[in-house]
Amino acid sequence: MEYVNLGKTGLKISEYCIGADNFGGQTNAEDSLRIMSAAFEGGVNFIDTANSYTDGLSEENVGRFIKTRRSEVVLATKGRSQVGPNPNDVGVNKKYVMQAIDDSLKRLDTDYVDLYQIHAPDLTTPIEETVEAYNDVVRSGKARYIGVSNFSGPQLTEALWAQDKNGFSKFNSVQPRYNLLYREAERELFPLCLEEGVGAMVYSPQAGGFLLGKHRNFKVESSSGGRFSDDFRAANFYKNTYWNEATFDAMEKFIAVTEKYKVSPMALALKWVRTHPAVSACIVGARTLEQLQQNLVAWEEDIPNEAINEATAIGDHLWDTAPWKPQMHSTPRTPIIAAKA
Amino acid sequence: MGTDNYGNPHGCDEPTAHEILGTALDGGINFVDTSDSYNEGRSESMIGNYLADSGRRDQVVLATKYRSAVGSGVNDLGASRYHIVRAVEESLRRLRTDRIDLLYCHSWDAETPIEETLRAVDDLIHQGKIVYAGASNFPTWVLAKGLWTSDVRNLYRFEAIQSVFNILQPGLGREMVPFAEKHDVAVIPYSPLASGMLTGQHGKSGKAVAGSKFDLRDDSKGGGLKSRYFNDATFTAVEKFTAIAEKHGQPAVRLALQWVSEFPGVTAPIFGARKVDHVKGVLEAWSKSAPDEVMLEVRAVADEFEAQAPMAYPPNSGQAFGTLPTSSAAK
Repeated sequence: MEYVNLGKTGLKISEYCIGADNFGGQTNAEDSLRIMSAAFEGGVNFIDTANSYTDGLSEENVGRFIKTRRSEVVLATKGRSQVGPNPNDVGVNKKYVMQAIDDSLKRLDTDYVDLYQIHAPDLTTPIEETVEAYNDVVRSGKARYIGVSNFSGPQLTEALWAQDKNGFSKFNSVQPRYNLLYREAERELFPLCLEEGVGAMVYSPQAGGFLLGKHRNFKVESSSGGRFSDDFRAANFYKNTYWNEATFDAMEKFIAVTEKYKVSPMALALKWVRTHPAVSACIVGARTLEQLQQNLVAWEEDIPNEAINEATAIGDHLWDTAPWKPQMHSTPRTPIIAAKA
Repeated sequence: MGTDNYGNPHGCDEPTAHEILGTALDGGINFVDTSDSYNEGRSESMIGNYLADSGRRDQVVLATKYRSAVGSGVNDLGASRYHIVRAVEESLRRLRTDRIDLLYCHSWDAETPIEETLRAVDDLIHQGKIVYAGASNFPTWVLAKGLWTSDVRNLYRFEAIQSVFNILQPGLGREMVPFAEKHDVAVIPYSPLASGMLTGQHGKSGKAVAGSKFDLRDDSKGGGLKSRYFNDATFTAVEKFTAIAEKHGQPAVRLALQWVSEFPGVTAPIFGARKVDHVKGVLEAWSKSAPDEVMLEVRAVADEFEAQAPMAYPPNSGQAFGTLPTSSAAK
């Protein structure tokens, strides 16, 4: 397992980050503990959860796991989502932030988190108010570092601006959705991350299993239990983004590349994401111990640079043949000659 | 008034440029946009000659740009202090004036720190050579970084952002326009008619109409008009758009300009002309507005087309993470 610094901080994280959003939900408590143990045995030291995952059960499961090994864990959680029926039970105003961090610490059964993140922007709260609250969270010792999730490049820039102007702790990380078929982050966010030293921890590296070839028949509804099934909270996003002919075509080409180079789709999907210079860590979820074990094997698989470059070309083609596209201001990805240092 | 046709072999010569400018100014236009890179400085020279000789300099707000290559030397381009100072001196000479009312950075220079650019521009503003600063073709985050730098370093800030924006290139409306509106930066869209594409002149042939910009300009050299607009989805959108114009007896030019102008935050769309008739046509179209019910139909076509972009989404409102109660602060 490789350890890298999170953005320009001194914090060392494993590039592989456990995504905890199934724990206590689609994955029961016992399996959750098994999955985390196996991951740590494999060298992982980084766990990402949120106050809203499985109504708090995810944090409780993580809390039980870290109990005996708190100092070796880099623990990340988030706040912002709806946690109750009242108007201040959602968002990142000061009242919510101060309550949410304490509630998370209680469920995690620890007195600090290593990374505290805004789960998503809150357009009804001035960013100056939110960054002041997050600064106080750091000053009071409840978090070591702070970050954001689902922010666009301009939104993160506005936040860093407010922090710089006021001398507050700056956001050190950002979580975008990023995979071969969804490269929005390359347009504005990653150039900003590289310029400002913000570490990207990307989620959905396998496009919810789509890149693994789980859905080979266009327009045939998927079976339940995955990201595309109607019982998953973001199923609409998955369908709107990937459920079209051009994207199915790209997925088939991707599978063909993995066959040509005799690598697993999972390994190539993960490796492709990790080779972007802005990416510090990759958040990988697992519903079962078996999935986790497959992920870890795939993580270490040798991937030739040619396979990565061919995968990039598939994504480029999807972009180039679109009816229109937002202006691209920098070269998205250059072919890889040597592996990232 | 966009002027990149002045002095272009496929655009217009100096007497025509002067006639166009005269017609535009007589029609009430007071905003002229050029660049040091347009046709090796000929656009600036023709404007400078017209304004100096006609004595109309003080009737216009004169905008130009630096940053594109104007020579083969390593410092003949970019947004460094070195290049900006020289570029401004040469623009002033060609424009035959002692001040530029609005000076844009033509596009982002990723190799120069934004603070260096802003300090150089700030100095030139204090020297009286420039009145306002602007940015063009910037990513939204770079404009944000610029405003941040000006704020914390007390430097003059970018007051305008000029980028491509039309029904067939709607990307600017997703995050730049709302961002600029929030920060009171003027949005100056160029190519509101999609280089004439929105008039429907090319039909569905996939072949450019003889004598049009698409026909005259070498697509491989930077213009890229055919690769940008010649695809089935775009032709279909144009067909639907021109059908609305025809049905209601409205000029397509008016509907295209109005679509862009109605975005909150949009200040002044730029349109170019290489014939006096083009200016007259735009002035006529611009003099009246199409009624709301027509614009509703136009917006429906535009929205349907916009939804076909891949791998790009508007900035996350976070609504999937819990619905926030509407308040006066919320938009």
